[in-house]
Amino acid sequence: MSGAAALPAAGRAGRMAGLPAGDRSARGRLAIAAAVVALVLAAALSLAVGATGVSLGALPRALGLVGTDGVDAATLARERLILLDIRLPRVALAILVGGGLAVSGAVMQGLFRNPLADPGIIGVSSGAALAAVTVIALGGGVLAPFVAPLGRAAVPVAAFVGGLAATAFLYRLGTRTGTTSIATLLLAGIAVDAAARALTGLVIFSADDQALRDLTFWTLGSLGGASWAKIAAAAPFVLIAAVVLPFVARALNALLLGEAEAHHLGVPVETAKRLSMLAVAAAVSAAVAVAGVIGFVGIVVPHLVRLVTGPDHRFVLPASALLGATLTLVADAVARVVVAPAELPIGIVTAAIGAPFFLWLLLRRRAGTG
Amino acid sequence: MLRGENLMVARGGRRLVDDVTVAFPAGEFAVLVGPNGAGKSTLLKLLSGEMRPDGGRVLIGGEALAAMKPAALALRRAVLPQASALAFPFTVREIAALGVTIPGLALSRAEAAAIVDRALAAVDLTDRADRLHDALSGGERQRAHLARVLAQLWVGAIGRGPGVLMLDEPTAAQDLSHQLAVLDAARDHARAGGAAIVVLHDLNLAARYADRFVVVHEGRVAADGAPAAVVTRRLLAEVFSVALPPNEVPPAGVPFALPQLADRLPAG
Repeated sequence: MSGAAALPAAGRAGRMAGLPAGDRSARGRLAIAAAVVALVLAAALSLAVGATGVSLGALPRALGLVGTDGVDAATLARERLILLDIRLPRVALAILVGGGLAVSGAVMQGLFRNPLADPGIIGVSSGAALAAVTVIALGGGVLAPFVAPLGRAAVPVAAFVGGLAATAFLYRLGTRTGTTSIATLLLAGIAVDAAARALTGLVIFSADDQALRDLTFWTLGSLGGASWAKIAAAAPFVLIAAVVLPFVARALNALLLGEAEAHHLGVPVETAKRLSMLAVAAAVSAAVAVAGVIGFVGIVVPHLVRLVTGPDHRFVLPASALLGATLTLVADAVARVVVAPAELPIGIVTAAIGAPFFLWLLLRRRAGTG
Repeated sequence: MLRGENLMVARGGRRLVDDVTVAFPAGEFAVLVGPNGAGKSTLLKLLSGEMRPDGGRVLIGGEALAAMKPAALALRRAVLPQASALAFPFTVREIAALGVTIPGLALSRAEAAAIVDRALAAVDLTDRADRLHDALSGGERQRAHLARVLAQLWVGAIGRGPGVLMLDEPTAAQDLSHQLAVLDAARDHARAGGAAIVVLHDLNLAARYADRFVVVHEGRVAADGAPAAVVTRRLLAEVFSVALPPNEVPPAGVPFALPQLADRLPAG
């Protein structure tokens, strides 16, 4: 990304499109188009793969788009069940979760001006998870007066509050007198993350609720159990992020220069920061509420995107959302296939890819090139 | 064009800026000089709106700066800080283009590109437009940010007339030729009817360009006037703590090269 290797490429792409040297906007648009194609392919792959032998070819039939002559009713019902009620919600959930996590990572890295900031690493996801399990565990008891009126939205709302609290706390800690202290931020984030994970474990351990027994879900995540109801619960929060983010993309570009410079460039800095944190908390908490804590999507994806488009958030944000959805679909397909008919937690797959990547990123920065 | 009235900033019981009233009219190139820690940068931060004064106020074009929205203010003044960091590497062109993306400003792609091209040419970075920030020298980085500042200034001038340019030690990382290039750009802005306020340490360089010296010392304006009237033996002793007779030539055999006499030549 830095250094001489990327130089000629940056210029070439600009000139190819008839743009002046140093203009990477054509690359940005191309990257988004490519990511759309990749997402469609990954969605098709995800729909085709599963423990049961229903192929993608059955989809038009299941949707009623083509005639069903010659197919017996039992087969048709089975195909409809597997494709429309099991695999399709799972695809939609993977897109919501992966897109939300990746775009949140991109926003946090811009906001904190550091490529290592990620909701899964600095405690935003675990904050959301802690709030979610607390509501599930105590929602029928002590917290009932608060939880009951929210109905099905209680868990996502709680996750949202937890994620927002963690984000705001970290931002206050990390940015004093207008400058972000990255060391403070990352260390505090790791502490918040550890504390939230420990408390989550404690709540789960002491809860009777059978649904909560699944610690794996809250620590490694899963897209299993996807349903249209879960999607309906998460979608409004992802929608908040999707509505807010286009407004902060330019502000995030200016913020890469620092808060004072962003102000000089006419950015309402406080507003932009608050909107960004709101969007991050919304997207991350929605993802956590329905799929548990899935790590590394938020750190790997934006970095890959920046390698291609450069750091302009007008391209990084949409491309990250698309690529995050794509990679999550692929990771989920892998998680379903490698130990079929059982399933790996998806977090194991993302960590297997993400952890070495994260180390590489750290070492590269230490070498002074980041 | 820009006016600070009774400006005061106190930190930890010490007054960093103490009852400063100063005005910068259009068309003038003003240089802020003073020893380290005198309050020059703090004064510039107050005048640019980066810092709120504990007392007094700043007016830009007669309008109170504190009441202006950031975007409106950005169209009336542009600021180059001492050092600008960049978390992720933009290309030089992308950095300059940040200056033309002021919120709420409608500018066609062609207009924006033309302004960015002009700004890159003004800071001698046209042939570095596709370089990444990381791959630039310190001086080139500073000039890339100056291109951004000039672009912002020129965008703001469309339909509104020239605004205020503020530069904090813009020549610190520049070689001789580029010191002149940077300050030429600021002078061109002043000649076009804008106000230029520049913090400089090099009195010779300052003397070549400034219409006016504003000497800041211990948070106050110690002297304010034409360079020839301000640069005196007494001021150099009292403000800068050096015994230095101005306008005298060093002994024979000691070389000196004064920027007052310099003209830029084509590179190569």
